Amino acid sequence: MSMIDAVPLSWVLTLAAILFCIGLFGVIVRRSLIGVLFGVELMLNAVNINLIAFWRYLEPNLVAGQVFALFIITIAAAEAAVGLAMVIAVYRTRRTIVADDMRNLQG
Amino acid sequence: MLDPYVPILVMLGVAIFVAIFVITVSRVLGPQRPTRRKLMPYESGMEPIGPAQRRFPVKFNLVAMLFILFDIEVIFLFPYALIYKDLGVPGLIAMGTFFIVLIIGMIYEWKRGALTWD
Amino acid sequence: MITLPVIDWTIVAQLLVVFGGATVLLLLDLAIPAGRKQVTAYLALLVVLGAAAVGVMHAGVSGATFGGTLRLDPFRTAVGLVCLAAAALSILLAVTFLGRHQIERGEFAVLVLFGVGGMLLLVQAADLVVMFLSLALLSITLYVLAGFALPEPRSEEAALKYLLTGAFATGFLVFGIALIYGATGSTTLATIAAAGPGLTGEYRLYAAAGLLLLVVGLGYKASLVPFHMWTPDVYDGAPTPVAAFMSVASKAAVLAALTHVLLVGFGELRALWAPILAVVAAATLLVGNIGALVQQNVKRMLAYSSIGQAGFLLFGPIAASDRGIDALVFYLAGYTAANLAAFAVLIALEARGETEWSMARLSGLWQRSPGLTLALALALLSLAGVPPTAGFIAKFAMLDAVWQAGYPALVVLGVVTSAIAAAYYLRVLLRAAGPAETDAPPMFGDWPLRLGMALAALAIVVLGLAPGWLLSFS
Repeated sequence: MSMIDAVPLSWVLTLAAILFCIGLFGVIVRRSLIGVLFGVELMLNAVNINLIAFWRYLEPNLVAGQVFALFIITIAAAEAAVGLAMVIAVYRTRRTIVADDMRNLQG
Repeated sequence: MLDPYVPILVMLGVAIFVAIFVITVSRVLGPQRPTRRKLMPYESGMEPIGPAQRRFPVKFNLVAMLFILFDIEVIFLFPYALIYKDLGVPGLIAMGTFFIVLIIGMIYEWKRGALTWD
Repeated sequence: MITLPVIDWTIVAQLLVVFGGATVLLLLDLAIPAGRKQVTAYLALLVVLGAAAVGVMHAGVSGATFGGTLRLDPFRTAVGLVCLAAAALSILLAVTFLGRHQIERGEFAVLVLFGVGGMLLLVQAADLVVMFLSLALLSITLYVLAGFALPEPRSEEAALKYLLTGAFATGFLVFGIALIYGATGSTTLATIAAAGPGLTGEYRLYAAAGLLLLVVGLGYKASLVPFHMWTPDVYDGAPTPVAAFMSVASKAAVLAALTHVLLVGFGELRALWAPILAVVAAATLLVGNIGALVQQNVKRMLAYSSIGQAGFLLFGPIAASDRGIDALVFYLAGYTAANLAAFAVLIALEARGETEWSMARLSGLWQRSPGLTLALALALLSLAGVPPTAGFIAKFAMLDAVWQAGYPALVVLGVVTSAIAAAYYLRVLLRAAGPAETDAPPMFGDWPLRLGMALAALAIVVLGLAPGWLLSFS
């Protein structure tokens, strides 16, 4: 008996949706910029679970889902690198990484 | 329905039980004669200097970020490694182009001084 | 033996020129000494012009390559040329601005090249994975460009805000793509379209939910209401040439991608998305134009006005007809010329260390420089849609297209919001024609800036007086 028979697809999709919502919640409520970046990573990884699940359950002969997951991992890394570099730059000039302290642009 | 997972559950229970059992038994039965030397961290090691959670220089962050980028790009080698024989020379040319682009990125960061520590 | 897809080099030639040029320029720039970074900018300009020449050469080409993931047709070529023109003009506007603000780094031109490459790729994409990759490429370059005036706090803040909202939008976008992939088993638009009618039950639901999430993701990038909140802050904080570039080029590319997704991939679900998009367009028009009405900061006003223009641009996919596509291309071309001309005037008046772009700084401009005032007037009248400018023809074509498609309410709303828009554009012009209120700010008139401004103003007039050659390209 394989895992596919034991765990229906909808469970995996629900797990991914919950993870996505946790990430979403993190992005919205986190005040630290690093925390916001964590939330985004969580959202993207939830998508990866989705893709792998769809690939495994529905299209095991086509690798498109797996390859897309690889692309998401690389893009997430690139976005995180640029984001962290910016957070450091901001920290250097104003010694804070709390999102609420950014009040220069409003009106 | 979840039959294949039962052994894992049993294994988990056994692991937790054994861990707690061993710690409790050794604490109850073992003789406890602490000396100053025994209480020191790393009984036979050096005296600790400063707190363990040191702040890293920001320069480390730059190197770490560059490492992550190049590290992640390498995952494209995994699918290639599985089918490189089937792809033949055209596949080699495609991956070669990919690597040339990566190397150009590395030359750029090197010449811009991102890799010099001081 | 796996057979690799046959590559049609005529379709990828333009992309090769841009990406090859950008990569070589990245290395060349290392050898260019710090004081002479203008050379990099001019070389980048050559690359953009080369790519545009390739685009013009292949104007009639239609076809697909890389297993149907990249496509070229007259619509894609035209939007690509608009993006390239925006990049070329932005480089011209930026060359001396960067030196003046002591942020003359060679990376600027290289980043613009990579950004416009991402836009071309996004326009040509016929596959959701390619769309995601190209969108990520253009977004990441724009994040960095927005923070290019580092360590200027406003620029830093703009970059960070843009990055955080953009990364958030990327999450929605890929979640949508994953659901569509799950429902249809493919990420290629043609295959998705073919699978569409056969979907039943939960898979139909996945496809619909995926499409909505995808539209949210793209809507963020095109600053559609209610995903527009970042736009005024980012345009305000980013260096002015960068704000000019992203207000036009990325919008053109994202609108083209949105059109492809909706019309090619999900034409079958039109009954679902057309009403939603009509409501979004209406909200975008209202929020953008009413928001612009209360702004005292010119850059923020232009940001809100660009949100309002995005509402008009949405009429193209809503109309879902050849007429709508033609109007979309013409609108994009006219909007690009007008917005770049308006930003060019701001650049000509922006010395180092200026932070808030208050409207008072434009007062008395007519007395000091009739030329700049004329350019500003052309730009704003075109944005407002006053004849005989390009903006008038563009708005007229758009309204005609949605009228034919059966959305009279949108036509009325388009006319009403255009009237609101005319009010705030005229307010700026009256300030410029009136007496000076502050000490005269310095003016800059280097030849690249003048050339860029003149070309944009010329495009406004030519497109307005002789619209036929672009309006009927397909």
